[in-house]
Amino acid sequence: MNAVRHAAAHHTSGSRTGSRRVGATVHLTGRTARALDMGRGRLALAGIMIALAFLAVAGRTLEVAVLRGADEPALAAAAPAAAAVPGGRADIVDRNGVLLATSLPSASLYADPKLVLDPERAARRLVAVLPRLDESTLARKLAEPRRFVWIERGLTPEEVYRVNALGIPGLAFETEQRRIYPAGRLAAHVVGFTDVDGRGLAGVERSQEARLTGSAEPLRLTLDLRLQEIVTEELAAAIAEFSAIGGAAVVLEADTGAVRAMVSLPTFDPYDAGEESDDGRFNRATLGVYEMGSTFKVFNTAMALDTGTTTLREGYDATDPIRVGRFTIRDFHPEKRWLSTAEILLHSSNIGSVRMALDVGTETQRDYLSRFGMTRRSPIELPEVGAPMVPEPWREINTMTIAFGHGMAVSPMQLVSGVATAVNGGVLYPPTLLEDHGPAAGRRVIAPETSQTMRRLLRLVVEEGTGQNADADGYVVGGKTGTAEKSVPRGYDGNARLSSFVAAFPMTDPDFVVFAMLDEPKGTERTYGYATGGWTAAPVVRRVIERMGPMIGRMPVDETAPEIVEALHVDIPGRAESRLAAYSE
Amino acid sequence: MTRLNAVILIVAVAVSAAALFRISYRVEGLEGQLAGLNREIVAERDAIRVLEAEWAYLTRPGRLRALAAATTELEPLGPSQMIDDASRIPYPLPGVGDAEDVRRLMTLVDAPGLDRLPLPPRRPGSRAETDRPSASDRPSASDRNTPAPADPAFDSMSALLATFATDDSVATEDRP
Repeated sequence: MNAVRHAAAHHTSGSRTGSRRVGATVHLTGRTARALDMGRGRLALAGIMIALAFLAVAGRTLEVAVLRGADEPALAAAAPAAAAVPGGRADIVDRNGVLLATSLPSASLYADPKLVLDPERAARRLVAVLPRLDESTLARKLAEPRRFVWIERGLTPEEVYRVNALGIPGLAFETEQRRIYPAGRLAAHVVGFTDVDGRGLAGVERSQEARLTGSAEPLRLTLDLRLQEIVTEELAAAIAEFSAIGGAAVVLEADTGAVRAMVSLPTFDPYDAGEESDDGRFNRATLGVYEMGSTFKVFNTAMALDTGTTTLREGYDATDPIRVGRFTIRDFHPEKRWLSTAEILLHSSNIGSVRMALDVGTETQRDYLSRFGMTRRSPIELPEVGAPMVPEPWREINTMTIAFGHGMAVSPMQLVSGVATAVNGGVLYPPTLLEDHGPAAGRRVIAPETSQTMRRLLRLVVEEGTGQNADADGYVVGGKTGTAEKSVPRGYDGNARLSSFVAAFPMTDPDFVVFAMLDEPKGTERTYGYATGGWTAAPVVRRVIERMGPMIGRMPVDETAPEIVEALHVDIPGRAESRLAAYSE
Repeated sequence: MTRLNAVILIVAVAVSAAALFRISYRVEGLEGQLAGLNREIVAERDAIRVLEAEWAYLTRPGRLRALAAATTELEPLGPSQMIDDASRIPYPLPGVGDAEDVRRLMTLVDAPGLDRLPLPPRRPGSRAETDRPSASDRPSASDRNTPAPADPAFDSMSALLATFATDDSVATEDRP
């Protein structure tokens, strides 16, 4: 042992392992000693290197086996999740989770023309299996001097089988994601459609492109498909009955701005959107802008009451038509007397409304209408939103016509959201189609008291005015009719009308606003030839409310109950008997 | 000493090499299994998506309405049918005033086939029992004493309808 220690001390770069092999103490001098020294030194160095390498391997082994041992479950779980995304486009569902749009894998057939031996024959045999293809076009495609041509995309599994069974060389399939719309035409204007490569071209598919491609979570819309069906059915029935060229309907939640149903008829087939008529793809509820007619009197009256220009006790003289330049403003149902504010709305008096608006003034009118959202595009999340037609400059004559809904064109969506504001307590909530939007920030437009008064007035219109056909029993409906002549290049066409009705229920504290509009309805025998909003659109609203009430579990109430009668009572000055007095007898 | 050390080391190396091979083969096998499972999961997910799309297509409101109109006598619920409180149920039940009606109703309710009333399959393709009780399953008067079905819901329903019967109709029938 002593000898070993001596040897170790003797060699400057020696190590214990190196000197062990020496075995005995030999004292050498000269060249031999130096050579041995050098050899030992190199050996020791190599030994250290190898030891370090082994240490590294051991450390890495420990790290992999012991320290990161928890990785495997995560690895196992993560793999399929990563594999699930290749669809690349999230589903769209309605508020109840009913599927409106999804991506399904489907096979697309392509060919490498260089490998196709006999294009003519291959084309003939392919057409026998896929009869929708054209044989001559196909033969030309297969003869092209390229390495890749699409033949047909979106094949069914059975077609894939039959094409494979042909055994034509040069044909191959690629799995692609194809967009499927189970609801079909029912929600086509809202959901929209994509092109063959899955890029959104219309509707929510386009406006939410980034969201749909960015996250695999389904996109929830505010639509209720059941309600959408009810509204579509009733609107279609009315269009058929009155031979209208189209129509639109909207159901909006008054306190959130959530669109529960939005229908534009005629609608289109989202699978075949390119082949459909422009009229079918045209969204009358958001893209179309129309002079809405008397429904604008809701805003006119709300504005006059909110500014304090008039009260329910006051009124205006509506005896004579108003002449302005070459126009004469008349009433459709002339009363030819002084009318109170309530009666002006009740009888839908144009003359009274014009005088009311003139009293308020042009500046204030413009201010109020823009706060009601009438002067800007509706903020709804669709690419197809029409810009309103606003008079520029806004002169006194415009003030007069806008008072009864002419000379300014807005989209139905703007009107509905404005009416919701007038009755929900006076707060404008931007209409939305996205359920997970979070609570929308509202903007106060009119005072809560004014909104209260508007509820009573609109209830009165349905109880005894032009809107009686909308009175769904038990749901305390209130609303306003609108019948506008469509403008043609030179003035107005007396036979082409736009008849609408906008309602809210229950009027004690409205939850929903329901709107229906018919494009060019013709009167029938049953309506005594009338094609006005009260005769054509109001019944649609009534039937929609009668069907949606039970569907959403809403109990009808006794409309003659004292608390409801009292809450909605309107004192009309000049009337002999007050309604409350009549009730208490 | 050194020989023993060497033997121990050689044995240890051999054992760990064998263990390493074993583990490595097992990992390889498991990886293959994992890949297979992942493929299956993806295939199942695709299948689920297809079925969900099919379900949504088959249950679209318009189709259900047409089916309901064609196969049942049910109509959409109207406001007048909404009742929020059991005490508002009209009594006696409309159209059940007649003793003969009550008897017929009870025969129907106590029928042995009632517990087999078809439930709609929850999803397309699920094999729920769909055969309706045929007319021949309806009991004759002698079958009236067959024990009630085991389902407590039906027991309470028969009991409820029995109280309707004993109140007046059956009593009036017993009088003569």
